Amino acid sequence: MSALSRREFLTTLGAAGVVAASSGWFTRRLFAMAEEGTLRAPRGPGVERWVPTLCRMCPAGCGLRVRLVDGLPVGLEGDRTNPLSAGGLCPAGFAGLQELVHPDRVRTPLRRDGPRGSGRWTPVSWDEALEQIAAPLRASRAEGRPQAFAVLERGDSPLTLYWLERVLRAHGSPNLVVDATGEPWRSAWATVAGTARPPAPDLANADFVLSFGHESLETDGHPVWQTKTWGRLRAPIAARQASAAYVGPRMSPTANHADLKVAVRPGTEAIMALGLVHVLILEDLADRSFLDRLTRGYHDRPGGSGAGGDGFEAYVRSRFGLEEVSRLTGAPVSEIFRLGRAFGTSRRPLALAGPGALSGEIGFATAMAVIALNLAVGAMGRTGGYVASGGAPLDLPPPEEPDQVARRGLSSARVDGAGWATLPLVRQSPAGLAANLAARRPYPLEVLLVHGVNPVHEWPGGKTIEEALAAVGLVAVVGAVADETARVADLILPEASFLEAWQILPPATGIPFDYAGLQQPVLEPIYQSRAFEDMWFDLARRIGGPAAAAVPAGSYADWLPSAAAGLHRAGRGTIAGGPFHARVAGFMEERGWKAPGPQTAEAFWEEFRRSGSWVDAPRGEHSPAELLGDRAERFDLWPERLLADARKLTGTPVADDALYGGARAAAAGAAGHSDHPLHLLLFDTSTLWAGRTALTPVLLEMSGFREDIGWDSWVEIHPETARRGRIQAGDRVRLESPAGSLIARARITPVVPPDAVAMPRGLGHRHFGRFATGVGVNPLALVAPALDRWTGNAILETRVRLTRMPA
Amino acid sequence: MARWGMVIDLDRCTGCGACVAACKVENNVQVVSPAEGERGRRMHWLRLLVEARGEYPHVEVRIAPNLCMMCENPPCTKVCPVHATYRGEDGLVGQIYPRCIGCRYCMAACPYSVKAFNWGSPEWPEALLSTLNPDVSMRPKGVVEKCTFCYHRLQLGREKARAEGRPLRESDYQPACVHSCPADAMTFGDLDDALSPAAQLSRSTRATRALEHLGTEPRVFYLEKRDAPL
Repeated sequence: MSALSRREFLTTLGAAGVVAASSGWFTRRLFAMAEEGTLRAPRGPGVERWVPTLCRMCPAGCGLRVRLVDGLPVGLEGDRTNPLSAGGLCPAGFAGLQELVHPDRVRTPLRRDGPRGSGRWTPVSWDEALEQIAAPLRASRAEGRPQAFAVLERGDSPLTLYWLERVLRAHGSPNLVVDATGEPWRSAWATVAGTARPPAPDLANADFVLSFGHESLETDGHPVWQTKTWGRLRAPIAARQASAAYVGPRMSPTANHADLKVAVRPGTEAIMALGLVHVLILEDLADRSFLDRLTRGYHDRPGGSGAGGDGFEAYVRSRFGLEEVSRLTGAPVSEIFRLGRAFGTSRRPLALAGPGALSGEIGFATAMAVIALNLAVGAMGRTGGYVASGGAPLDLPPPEEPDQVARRGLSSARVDGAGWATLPLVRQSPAGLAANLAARRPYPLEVLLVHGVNPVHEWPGGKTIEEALAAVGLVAVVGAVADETARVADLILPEASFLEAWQILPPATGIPFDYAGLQQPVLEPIYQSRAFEDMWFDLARRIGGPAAAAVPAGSYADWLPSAAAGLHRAGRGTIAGGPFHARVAGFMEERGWKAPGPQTAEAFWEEFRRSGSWVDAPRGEHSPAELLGDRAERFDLWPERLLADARKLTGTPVADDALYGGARAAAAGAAGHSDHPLHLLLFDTSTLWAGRTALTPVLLEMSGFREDIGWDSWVEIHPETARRGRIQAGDRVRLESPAGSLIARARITPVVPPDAVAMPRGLGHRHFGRFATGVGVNPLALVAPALDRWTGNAILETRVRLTRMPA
Repeated sequence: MARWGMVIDLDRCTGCGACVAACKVENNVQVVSPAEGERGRRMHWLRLLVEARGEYPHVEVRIAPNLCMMCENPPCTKVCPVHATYRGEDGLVGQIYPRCIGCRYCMAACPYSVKAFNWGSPEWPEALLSTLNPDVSMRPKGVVEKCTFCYHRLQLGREKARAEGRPLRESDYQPACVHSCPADAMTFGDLDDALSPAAQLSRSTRATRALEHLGTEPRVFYLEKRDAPL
């Protein structure tokens, strides 16, 4: 963007005339407010152009068409040809343009000037900024400590992860820490099936979807794809109807649209899943043939003791009697029966578990129990069950052997504690990072690069994270708008908006077919911002040595077409032209026909840019083998190895039924906290997305659009709880937990149980641009930081006391 | 002339809010300050009506998108002293901003409460101005505004059809809220065209209209929720 002086700018505008608005009053106001460096309102011939790209406000990556008038983006809408989102968008998508032109975007790299957190910054060039990171990295590698470099990454783009991992591996650091909320789910699947990637639910063909806290219609998984799929099954003239059921403590929007909802006490989802397995056994609805052939430990427990060499069936029968399950979960036996029967008598049932059910103290047990429930109905490797996750056959450079320095570095312990402070099967432990940094364990860090994550705001114990960062030599934060973590960093690197950058996005996980979306820039970067991948390439080259050799010459955009060539060479799938097109192409392919496509890789790239996505139609045939890892022959119902690892880790005896027994004990011990009688339930909304999207006016005003609340947080309180506390709607209430307290407005609603209150995450920023700062409160202030050793994640669970503030 | 109308399937609507955001951005509806918002001056051309019924855990939250019903017999046009709100030749209820004197009679007359009053001048942070939709004019302080069924899209669609020398198709004209609904809960089209999905749905046994007994003849139909198949 050329920098015009204000005077020049106003003169040109006066001469050119204005298309922007028809009201003279408005145009005066519009131009009186224009300032240097911001985009100008469209003027000139009014030539319209649409560019297909991807929305990257959340990890899902819906197809987007951006409308440009005279080269400036003025509107956007869902891309109907995208095979996943099919024209749909969630509210966050519509804020993409406001985020692009956010007035507080970081315009140049900034170097800290004064003590950390002082808020004094000096603009520096990209060369200076990247050199400041590269110099200590070169030095520490020369001293044989390449592991003193860590990257904390959001992790919603597989290609970005690929390049981070490749360069770090060449350099010799094992410390790529991904803020993975899916970790409990992933590690549970790894335990059961021995696979690295959790499989995907074939929602389009399931006829009964049971969700354990999985907010399919709000923020979990790919919400727009899930909503589209769900909507199709609800079509007025659908050939087939599917039912949905929900298990959880809060009657969330997803629960609201379930045909059958069963309320359980917070943290007892695992008990309910096992109770349903019990119903299947009692009613002879379990898939015995599947269990006999493909699971281990159903009839007898291999090498077990204690819990009786009993098999899973006998264990569930003896320890999860329905009266017991009912007592622990609070759901009546009749409801458990009704849900179990409906699930078991469906032809293609499927159970999902979401972060809401997996982030508690017994999250891992919940994931295991829900997988066991799926095993009990044989929902593995079959249409309408779990099938292998889709990916994209992109051309990636072959892996390189690390040199000797790198090998030594890679063999050192991870700085987040994954694998040594947690169970060995945990690969990412974001929650362990802060504690280890503060203690300089297992070694001090020279450089920490943070991208797309804001731990000071998003993780429990924000203050302690700030302190932990003080123990790191250099903290560099990559972001478009400076957030709380950037405030206490040494360097801020301005990241380009997704509307200014290139990316190819294969499905992260959870999509049952192969797909790749193309994100392409709709305009040149407005400021001196860069795409993260570009600055990463540049940094690698500056570090030199094997890191530099690991990245290709040129920019990220130069490299992408060669990756896309893999899609062309694969000789299957098609450039997407809408759902109808994909179906026809799949139909033809099954019968040995191939729809004519581009002949050369170059022509393919051009077509790909025009369409915005590539898709390989879902396969019709599945087998359970596609879900099993290389070394696994059957699905493990008992995590024997895990328990052995747990014994080694803690050095204490771990009971044979530690997993589900622990869940039982936790549920039984949940009652009777007189000081803090209420559970705190945290939830996300499609406008706030846990805080990453809520920085623009349109979304902040919609923060509580269902509640008729704007620009504020709220606490959901059951009418009975409110009556006891003499609380009325709109009152200011104080929530106190052992870890902290906050004040928010009361909203009285029957969607929460009487023994809990609920709050949305995402507001309460102390430093996140002019709009979001100071809006609402952050409920994570109530949660004490605690590491779940089974999953490496934080335990987002606490109890609170509720009092009304004097008027 | 086409009789444009909308059908909203409440069985499919998840209340995600995409239509609310789409409308806000498409029509340059101003974002009022938080303090003004607290005084009930928040502006939406489309908002969700939400009502929770029942006792935990048997709660049913009923959600209905609420927008201008484009009545065939609109109460608002009859009370306007200056003919600022009127029913156009294609039957859509319009609002002429320069003519509006801000008396708000129409707001009082509208049984659906879908009209919004500009209590203050629209304030946009300068940086956000460039992203405003150039097809929709801004409204000054003191006038009433409301949903137009994205009338500017109809105009663009007509121009496009004329340029291509063909009749206007339904796909040329879809309001912003309908286009991006992730649940495909909204259908828009010509209610007089027997082949139009919107017309067919509007004749469904589940179809109903808000406050039908008032005789306003709304062109927005709601399909009632179905009973659980379980």
